[in-house]
Amino acid sequence: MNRDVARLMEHMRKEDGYASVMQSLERLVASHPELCDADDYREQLLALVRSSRCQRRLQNLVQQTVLSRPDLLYPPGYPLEAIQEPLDYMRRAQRAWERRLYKSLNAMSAELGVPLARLRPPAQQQKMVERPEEASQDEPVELERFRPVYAPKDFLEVLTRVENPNYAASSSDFLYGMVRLPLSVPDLAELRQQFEELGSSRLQHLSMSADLPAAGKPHLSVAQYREMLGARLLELDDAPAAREFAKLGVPQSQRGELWCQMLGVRPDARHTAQLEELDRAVLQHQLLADRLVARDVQLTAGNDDQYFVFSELLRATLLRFLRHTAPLKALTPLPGRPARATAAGSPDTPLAYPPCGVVPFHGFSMYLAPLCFVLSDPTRLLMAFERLYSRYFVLLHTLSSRPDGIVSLSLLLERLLREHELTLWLHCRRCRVQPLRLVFRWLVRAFSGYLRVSQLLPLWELVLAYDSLRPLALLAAAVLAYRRASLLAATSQQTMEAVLADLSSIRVLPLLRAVLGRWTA
Amino acid sequence: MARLAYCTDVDRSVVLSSLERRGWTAVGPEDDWNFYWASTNTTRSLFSVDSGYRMGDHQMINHFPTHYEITRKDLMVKNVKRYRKELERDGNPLGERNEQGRYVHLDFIPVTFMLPADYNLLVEEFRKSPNSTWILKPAGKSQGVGIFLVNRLAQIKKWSRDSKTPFNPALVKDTYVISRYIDNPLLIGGKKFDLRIYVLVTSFRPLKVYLFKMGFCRFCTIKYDLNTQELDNMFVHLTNVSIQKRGVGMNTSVALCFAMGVGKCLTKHFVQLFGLKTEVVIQMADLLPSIQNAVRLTRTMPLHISLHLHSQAEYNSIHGGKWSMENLQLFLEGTRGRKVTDKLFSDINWLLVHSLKAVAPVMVSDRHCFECYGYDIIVDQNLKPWLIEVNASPSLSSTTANDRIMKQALIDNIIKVVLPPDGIPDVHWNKVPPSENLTDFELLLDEEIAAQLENARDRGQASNLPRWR
Repeated sequence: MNRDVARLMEHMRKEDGYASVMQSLERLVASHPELCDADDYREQLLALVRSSRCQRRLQNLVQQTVLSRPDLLYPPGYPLEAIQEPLDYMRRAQRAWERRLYKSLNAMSAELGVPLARLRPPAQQQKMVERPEEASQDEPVELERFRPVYAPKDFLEVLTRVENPNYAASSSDFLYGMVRLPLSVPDLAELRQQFEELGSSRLQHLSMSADLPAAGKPHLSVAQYREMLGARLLELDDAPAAREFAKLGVPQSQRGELWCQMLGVRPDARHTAQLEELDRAVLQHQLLADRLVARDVQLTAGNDDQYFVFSELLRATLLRFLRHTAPLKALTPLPGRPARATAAGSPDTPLAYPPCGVVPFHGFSMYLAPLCFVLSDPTRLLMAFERLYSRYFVLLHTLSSRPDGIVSLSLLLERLLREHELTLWLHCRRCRVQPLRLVFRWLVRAFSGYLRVSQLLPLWELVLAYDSLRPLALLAAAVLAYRRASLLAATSQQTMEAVLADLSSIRVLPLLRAVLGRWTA
Repeated sequence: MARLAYCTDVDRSVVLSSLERRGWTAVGPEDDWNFYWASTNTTRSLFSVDSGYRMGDHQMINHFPTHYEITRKDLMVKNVKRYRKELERDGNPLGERNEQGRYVHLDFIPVTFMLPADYNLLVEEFRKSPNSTWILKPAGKSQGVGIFLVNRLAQIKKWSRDSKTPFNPALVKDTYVISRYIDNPLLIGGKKFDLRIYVLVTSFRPLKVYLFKMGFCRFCTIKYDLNTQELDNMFVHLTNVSIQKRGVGMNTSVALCFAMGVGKCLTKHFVQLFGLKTEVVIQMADLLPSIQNAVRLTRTMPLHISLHLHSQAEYNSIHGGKWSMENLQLFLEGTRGRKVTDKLFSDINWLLVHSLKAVAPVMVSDRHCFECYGYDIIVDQNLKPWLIEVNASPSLSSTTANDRIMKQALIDNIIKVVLPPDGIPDVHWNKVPPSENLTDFELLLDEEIAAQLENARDRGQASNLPRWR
């Protein structure tokens, strides 16, 4: 058998859905006993599989495996480090950033006298079981002592200081941008190709044309037509088809299901048991990171007039997320090496801290909050969040050379502005304001908490459908272009920030379509 | 824009700013005002026979004289029940009842009885569902004063004596309304909430109802503070009383459950029985009579009683525990599906319209009047809305910036809708505002226009229909 296929098989076996797909294949074969005696067993089996649902499920499984393991694209034996991050200087910068974070975490632990992790005393465990609603109430004063480990603006400073030692950036290369790295970013023509359906005004996107008559079926409105198609797709359970469908918008009532299909979230009894185990772990141990998460929920989601309702759910899910080691395995192909801590009793076996491999920062809970509008089941919520995070959002706050990483997105934003909004770019330069600094926090948070939920969900849907974080950079550039007049009238950083403070009236799809369709140099 | 003279009893910035922004001048109630934003008391005295005040053709006031028919809990229930019975008697399909005797289409108020009058009916209902909880409210009070929860027949035996013996004013001063407590409310994020919806009525006969699109959900996310000073004067010291997280709707009441021994020291029993912790701020002035009442009632029945208290809690000043209806709709569509969500919202509109149709016959539909009602609605887990209460003077104070903006838009919009196109109140105007004046209001029902369309259809004069030659 082909060596690559063998490797693929090896990784597929470790995937979540493998067992159930194999089971359904077995059941299929068992229900066709005439196959055993056939001469052309192989051809008949293949024909049978192709004609049944199993083919789609196999396809989904393969796609999921390939998407989550980029190291399959490399020859075997390729050093993992190099797969994680081929560029040496970038790798070193990320490691340095991580070391800073962990030092800061340790310092906080020492300063506040709170251990990184400790066993909860049984009395407290008992109380948490009997009165769960009070568990979140007993720490308000204490929580104020905990500062978030870092905020997006700290990360921006680190990002801009990354330098390629082999490249002497002369100022004309980037025309006064903040990021001076020779990473390849697409230009508008390439973006138009990549996001063809988004930019084409012939195609009706649900967000923009919900009440208009559907092209091809004028007796139905676009909303009704999309719902009909969506219902059929849900039955089909075909992830690539779901992605194609999502490019033109998914009706809100079908979002939860379709997003789960696109992310490969298929919870079964095993996952529910896992959830219960995580809850037990929450009871048993208390992590310093728990307080950070609670503080973050309190400061960000808890103060947001759209997400405050879900504060409890967010806290509970994030506590489970912190203790779940599966994301760590998913993160391995990605840059980042989580901190290792040694438990007091066993100094020889370093464990990852926090167990999930991620240090929560200011605004972390905002990655999860919008999902509460589409998923209510805790198991699915946790699974969907983990996949969404480990595939997309982790790239927004780690340094990497990937085309979807925050570094490339920042470069893309600056390039788009330089090439298509030169007046604005030069105006910012004259006022000594960096446009990237104005919009960076939108990018790191994937616009969560800045846009209205009804606009944020279609944006994240685009990210899922196109499997790319570039729509975020596009939208940031589009908003700047849209508010060009007010920005040109502003002369200082504060005024510009005031112009960009309120995004609640922004409508994502029309802006993106305008930028892809009509922007000219 | 016409420059009118306005008068107001209500010292609220949202009202004053809307009125002054139009360049209107403030005058006193004795002067020649065109527009009066009054309190319900002033309205009552203005329309009372003794005052002898006759309103002119160019004067408008923001309450109907008989608004209590819908805002007093006992009268509202009485009117709805009468409305349903009439429909049933007339053979109207709306009045249809199912095998359990529940109205199929008009079941929007929880089962309710008047005490002491309906005591026997209540006993029957109690026996049918012994595990139910009921909520007792005094008919005439507002803001959650003097409300109790009961779950045992013995707790209301008091009224059985009253219903049999001759009326003794010393024992029962108010009529009480007892209704089935909604014990399976819809929870979002584990929290209970209720809906506040604003409805503008410009006329009852013919009925003209406008729905304010920016209603909101009120969540119970408040932290409580105890004001110990006032408590020192109280004979009851309510410290360290906890509230169940799954408490009752915000802003008006919080359920405190406690068992009473002999009247004093409610707290001790409270804490002992439930071991609860948090603290509560209460309007002490309102509390005292309620507690006294409770003591009086319970001296003869040492049983489980719940007390609803008016809470002035400190809200988070960014969201104030308020969630927009848009978010509610988005959330329900995403987690429950579009059909049931659409059905919920249309059920809410149905509830609003029919509750008003029920009181229309008994309302004095004075052409000088309009009124903005605040409907309190609770949604249960089957996505069925229940009408809890209607307020004629919904709170106009704001807890957050968004709130203030919304309430300002509300008042401003109301003025736009109730004034004729030339901006001068006119009693002879047909009260059909041009559609661009509606802005954030949505026309729910205008019986006059509906009747016109009916007539046109009947006479075959609908212009869109093709005519056979």
